[in-house]
Amino acid sequence: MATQRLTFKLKNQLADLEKINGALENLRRQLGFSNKCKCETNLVLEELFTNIISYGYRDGGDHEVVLRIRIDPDQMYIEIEDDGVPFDPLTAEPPCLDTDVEAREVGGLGVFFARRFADQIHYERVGEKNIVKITKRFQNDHGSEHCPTAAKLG
Amino acid sequence: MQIDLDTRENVSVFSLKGRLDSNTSPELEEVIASQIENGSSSLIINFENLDYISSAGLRVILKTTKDLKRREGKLLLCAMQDYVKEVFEIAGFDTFLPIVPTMDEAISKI
Repeated sequence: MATQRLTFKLKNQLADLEKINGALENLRRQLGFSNKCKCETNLVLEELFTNIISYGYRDGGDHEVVLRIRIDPDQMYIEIEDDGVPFDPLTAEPPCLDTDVEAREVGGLGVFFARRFADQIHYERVGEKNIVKITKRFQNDHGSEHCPTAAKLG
Repeated sequence: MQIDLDTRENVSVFSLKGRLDSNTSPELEEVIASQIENGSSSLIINFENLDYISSAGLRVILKTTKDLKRREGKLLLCAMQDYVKEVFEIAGFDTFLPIVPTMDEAISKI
């Protein structure tokens, strides 16, 4: 069976988070990876997507964010492409993880989660586009040692 | 996300169901803020049926913690699923927030 590829075109609006969740839930049902793996991947994508729509556009207009997912036997490879201002989320300030509650802020936590829950994450600027490339391996999926259906792909 | 509010003996219990993300967290923020505004200072958030949380959800929990601290109130979180608990721990929120395994324990500790 050939490697599976999917493309989703999202608008720069929070409501489209539901499309990301729907796409991952469909893949989870189809391939049999754990709910934990799905949630962690969803978290990575939500944090990066909300960053793009919050900080990427200064014209207040409609934009398209493209999500490309490739299912390999042992991992999901995901690209997020947007035409916003050049922005490398990986250079964002690390969050304050102070244990004093008054000193705590949530700023920076989103990108921190994206880095923590992705196995690999990489940014590049290509022409007028920001592209973030994410790898999420199934073997780190403690819910099941590997993804049974995806392992037959490729 | 579904939010059920149950008030028992001056304790407000918020039971969350579904997903606490950038879309749904403003609703929880509003419901909690109005309860605090109305004088409630002992809050339990029951996570038993919450499947997903992101940094937007943590922001609401942090804001609630700070608001209650100023009013000398109390917040207890309970019954988290593994993924949700992991997110709290990685963010270090378990260092300043009491997280207990069951609703019964939350009720007895508040």
